Amino acid sequence: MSDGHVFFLFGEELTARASGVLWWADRRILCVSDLHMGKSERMARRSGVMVPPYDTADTLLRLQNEIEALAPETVICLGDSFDDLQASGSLDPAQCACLYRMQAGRKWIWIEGNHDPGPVAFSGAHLAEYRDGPLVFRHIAELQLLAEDRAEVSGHYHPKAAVSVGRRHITRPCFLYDQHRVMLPAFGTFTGGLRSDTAVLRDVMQPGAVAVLTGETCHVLPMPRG
Amino acid sequence: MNIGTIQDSDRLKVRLRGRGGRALGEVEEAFAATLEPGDSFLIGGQVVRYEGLRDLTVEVTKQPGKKPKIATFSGTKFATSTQLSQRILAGFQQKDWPELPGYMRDWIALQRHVSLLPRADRLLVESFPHEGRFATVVYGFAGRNALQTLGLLLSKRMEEARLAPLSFVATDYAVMLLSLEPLGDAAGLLAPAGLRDGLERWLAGNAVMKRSFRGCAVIAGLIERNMPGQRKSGRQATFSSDILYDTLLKYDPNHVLMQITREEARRGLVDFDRIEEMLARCAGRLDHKELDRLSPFAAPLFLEMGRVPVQGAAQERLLAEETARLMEASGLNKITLAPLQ
Repeated sequence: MSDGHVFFLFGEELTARASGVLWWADRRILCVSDLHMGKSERMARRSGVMVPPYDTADTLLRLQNEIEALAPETVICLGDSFDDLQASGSLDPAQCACLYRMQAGRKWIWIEGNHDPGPVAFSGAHLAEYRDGPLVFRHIAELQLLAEDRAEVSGHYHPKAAVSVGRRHITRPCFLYDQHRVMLPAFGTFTGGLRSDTAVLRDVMQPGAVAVLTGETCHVLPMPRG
Repeated sequence: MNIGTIQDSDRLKVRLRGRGGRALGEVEEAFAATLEPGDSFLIGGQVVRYEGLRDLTVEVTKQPGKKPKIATFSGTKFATSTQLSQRILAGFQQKDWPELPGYMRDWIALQRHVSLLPRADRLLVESFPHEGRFATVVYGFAGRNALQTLGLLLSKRMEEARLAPLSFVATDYAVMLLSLEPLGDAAGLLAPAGLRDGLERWLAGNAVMKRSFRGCAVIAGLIERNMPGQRKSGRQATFSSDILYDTLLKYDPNHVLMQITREEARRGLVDFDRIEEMLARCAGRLDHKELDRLSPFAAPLFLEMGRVPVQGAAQERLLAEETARLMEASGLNKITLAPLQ
């Protein structure tokens, strides 16, 4: 697998990885968004729909692969890490152990999301947002960036983008970035996506924004705006 | 007596745009999904222009005079019987076909002229370039289900041979594969040992299995049926059945839904016995015609619904080419790699 697509945000070199995580090599920060752990459990609890309950295990396994590959000093989970606060208590012992192993020996930051707006049962810092250098990490992109925010890293919208290849439309989760921000795709196994030509994404992302499709390898294209 | 559940194929109403627009009929959802605004098709005796989908209705305007796309109804997919296939193949051996209408006689005669007519004791394979791709057509006369399976197996083998297959489509008499690279060795591709070996491995993770799984999952009430135009509304979680299938395959391959899916696929969509029968009656006797353009018998395959996409190298390659072209066209490829300060 290629190492991903390198781009610059306010002078900082960032890598959008094909797996869907963002890697800030200089600071050894791995950033991941919208894990939505416990989604199947929450769906069963709330609506009785019994989808296969393996999403949390699969999400953790894929995150573990990235952590092993990159050995980050800091991991930032950009919010909606758990599908709701109750779901954060639904991890089984093996899944908890997997999470503890990943947390061991590194700084771990849980950013609050709309699905998990409070402290969760796991260790690590629980923050509304986190700043490092010129970057601010928050769950939902601010439509107007604040004066002190030079560049923003966010999640929340689960962006995806479609490319027409001949008669076929290929849609994949994607990163979106412009000169001031980068938006991460959702990493959770059972998370859907919002197409990049949706009004809210067109409003948030500047003209000239770029989409990085995730999957086997990265594919970079101008953000489809419909 | 319980004889199981039959899923209806999805259809959408077609209506003229505007207040109180007249209903013209129904088209299959799969056909509606292929339409782009501006496309035209024939329905209810008139040519109409596709405008869009609203509330599960295909909205159209009148457009007389333009050559239409034709609405196809794939309907039920029963394979032709072995006997009928044999009769058709025997019929090809005649010198002429006075019992058939003129256009059909011309069509069959033209096939004999530019290529070969399929025979019961030999397997005809044609390959030719088409619109920047390469087509490979195998005239198996083994029924749609078996040829669908053959399409899967061959696409898998073509992927391994780095021919970058894109898609395949099967009918009762032939299967056509499209690839980015030309087919060289037809005999190697159709070697029985390789096909049998492929069958062991392909069962997991392919489009036909996923299609069977979707049917099972809908009947089981696990997922709702998705219709184009419906997706925008409604906040309830919609699920890609492909993701559910992949997850179950990875973590719970013997789940009851997976068992049912495998059984369904074996009975309905796989039909490997008829591939064996086809290979036995041809016993390695193979005619490979390399043509410079499509043949008369291959032409209908391009109109056939239900093309199955192959996920693989070809898709990645096309994506890479198309995204590079878009970056180039927008000029973004020149500026995004430079540090901004």
